[in-house]
Amino acid sequence: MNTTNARIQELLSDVAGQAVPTGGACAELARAYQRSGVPAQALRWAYTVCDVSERLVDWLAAASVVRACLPRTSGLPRQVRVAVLGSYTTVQFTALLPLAAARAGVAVEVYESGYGQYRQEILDPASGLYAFDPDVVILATHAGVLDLPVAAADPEAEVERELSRWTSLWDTIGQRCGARVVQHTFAVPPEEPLGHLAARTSGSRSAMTHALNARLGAAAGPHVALVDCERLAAAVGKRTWFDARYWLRSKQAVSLACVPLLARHTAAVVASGLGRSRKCLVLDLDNTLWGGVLGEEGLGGIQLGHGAVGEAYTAFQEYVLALKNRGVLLAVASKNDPEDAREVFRRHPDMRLTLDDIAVFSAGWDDKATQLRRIAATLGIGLDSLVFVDDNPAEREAIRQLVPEVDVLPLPRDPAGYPRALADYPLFEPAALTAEDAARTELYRARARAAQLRQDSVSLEAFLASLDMVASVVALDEPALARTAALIGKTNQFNLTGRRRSGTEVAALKDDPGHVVLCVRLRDRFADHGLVGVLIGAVEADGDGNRRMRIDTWLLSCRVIGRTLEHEMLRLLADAAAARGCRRLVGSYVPTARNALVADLYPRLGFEPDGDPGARSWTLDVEKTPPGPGYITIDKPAKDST
Amino acid sequence: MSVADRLQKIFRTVMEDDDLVLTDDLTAADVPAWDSLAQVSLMFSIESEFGLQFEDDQLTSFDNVGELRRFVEQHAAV
Repeated sequence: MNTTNARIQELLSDVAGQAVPTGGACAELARAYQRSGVPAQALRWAYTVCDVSERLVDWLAAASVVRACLPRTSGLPRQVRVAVLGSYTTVQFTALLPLAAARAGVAVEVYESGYGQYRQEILDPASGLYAFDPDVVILATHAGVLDLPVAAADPEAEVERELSRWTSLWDTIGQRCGARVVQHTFAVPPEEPLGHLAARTSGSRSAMTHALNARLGAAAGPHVALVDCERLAAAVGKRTWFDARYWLRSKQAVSLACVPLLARHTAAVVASGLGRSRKCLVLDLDNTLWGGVLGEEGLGGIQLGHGAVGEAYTAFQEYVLALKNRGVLLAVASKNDPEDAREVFRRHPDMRLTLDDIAVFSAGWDDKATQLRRIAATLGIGLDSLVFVDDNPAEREAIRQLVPEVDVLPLPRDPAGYPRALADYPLFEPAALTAEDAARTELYRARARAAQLRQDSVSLEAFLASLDMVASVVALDEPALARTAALIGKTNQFNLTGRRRSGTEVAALKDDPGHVVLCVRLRDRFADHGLVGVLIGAVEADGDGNRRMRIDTWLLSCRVIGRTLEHEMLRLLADAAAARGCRRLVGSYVPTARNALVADLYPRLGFEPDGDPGARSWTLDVEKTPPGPGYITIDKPAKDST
Repeated sequence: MSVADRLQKIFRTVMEDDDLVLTDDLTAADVPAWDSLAQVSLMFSIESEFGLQFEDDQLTSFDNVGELRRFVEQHAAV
């Protein structure tokens, strides 16, 4: 404990010397306070990580602090249930989202769909998504799932078709559970087969993706919010946003370098939809709106409008003015002579802000905490609606301690960085520009809905049927054996027994007349998924002198879960079992940390409990194997392949 | 901080285990939280911490912590 406290003191004195503290120091402070049993301080520093760091490791540490400490404090103003439906691996995003949401004042409970399961979860009324009963559904999707050609003859039709795929998902969510949808826009990949011609070709894939993003924005009603991933990706750089190594290795369509950023912005949009955005920007004057100290240098001496430094302050004022023009209230809190301070607004030729822009002008010799309380009271808003901007780290720290409800913007030392610091601040996220704007959007939406009138009402059944799926049994040559072993090694969710047969074992079993090794590949209209299913059966003696087949290993790659392939695999196995004189199939479910998904697979497929239900063993008469739902055609291998 | 200390800090954060002590012969099989997804977060965090890039197959190919540490010591930019 003493070493922890000494470390806290050391870190505090480090960060006190920094205009913007480093994420590493903040994360370590958060953990140290957690260990010392001071959850409020632990949370404060975890939230600071969100503000100052983009590093995954800092965020992971802070997220873990929030998970541990939030339940031990008085909690947050809002609690919501958030479902994350991803078209790529969203494990890290889902882990970081509660941190970013808590930073924005919202406690979230998260549900995460299986990898790539977003469509099935939405279309299936009995899915885990609806059982979770979310308040918010985040569609974390990437351009790789769009069905847009490299060059289209009729780009408008392509974009419309793609648009209706997404809007019909939004509508289905709205109708089934009333949750608000947060849709990630599609970051346009930097690789463009048409080269620069793409910029003047509306049928290029990048032009269509841009058009789709715009159409999604126009189609989004009041219950749909967008997070503009295209803008975020462009801001950090597309080559940073997408790292092919991590895509290939673990299907991360957003690089782990950018997942903190994405979590922060998504949380801000979620919070904004709950009315949790901040309303008022409270500005210091000296070295915040202009360079220099007015009381010392006078109206003519302050830096504004000219030279690199003066222009930086002008640029900052212009950004502040843009915020004001779209609805953010402005206030001034300054330690200055009030009349002298007003004089700058009235007379300085390079001031962009005028006194009319300032809702409350507080200048005087009261401490800033007192001034902030007065500003909130005058405007009739809560302290938790204020954001305080001051170049002086000591003033910022005083406000953090004395008026913790007020949000404090970490401002860098150099005024050139001010506009970006303010632009990156996520909690001014507007829900809609004005009430009329919101009403107009609502009207637009209602009209669009009537026009569409479920012409493309998509059911899960229709979706599955539209995929034109074809499955085939794979001949087990060397590459197929390697893929099979890899799949057995890494499949966790759809894996009945968790048994990890090695490549050598599988190779031996495939030539053993007492075993059946069925490896299945699946393709559909969009993609060839490759070898995705493995089913191994072992012939054994049944009690009554007959033979039966025991299911030794059964697994499906998570990329095809929900495609009904398990039905077809079962039929293939039943045929193979019958050919070997087996009357019954016997399967057991061995629970592991991740395979709850298939706990009820056997009863779903028509198996009967074998003895007492607790034994998790099931049996099926081969002749009673149910016909599959019929969405998948079986492409029989050529006769000579075995 | 030494490479070993910095690695240990990253491991503790990713595995959410403040008592984890790295030894050269430690492998994923010894740490319950060290699954394939933790591996990805781990390798990414090590790349950013030390300013290096693993080859594609290295993302999953180090046999144990000692081998990883030696690689980082030879290739760390910072």
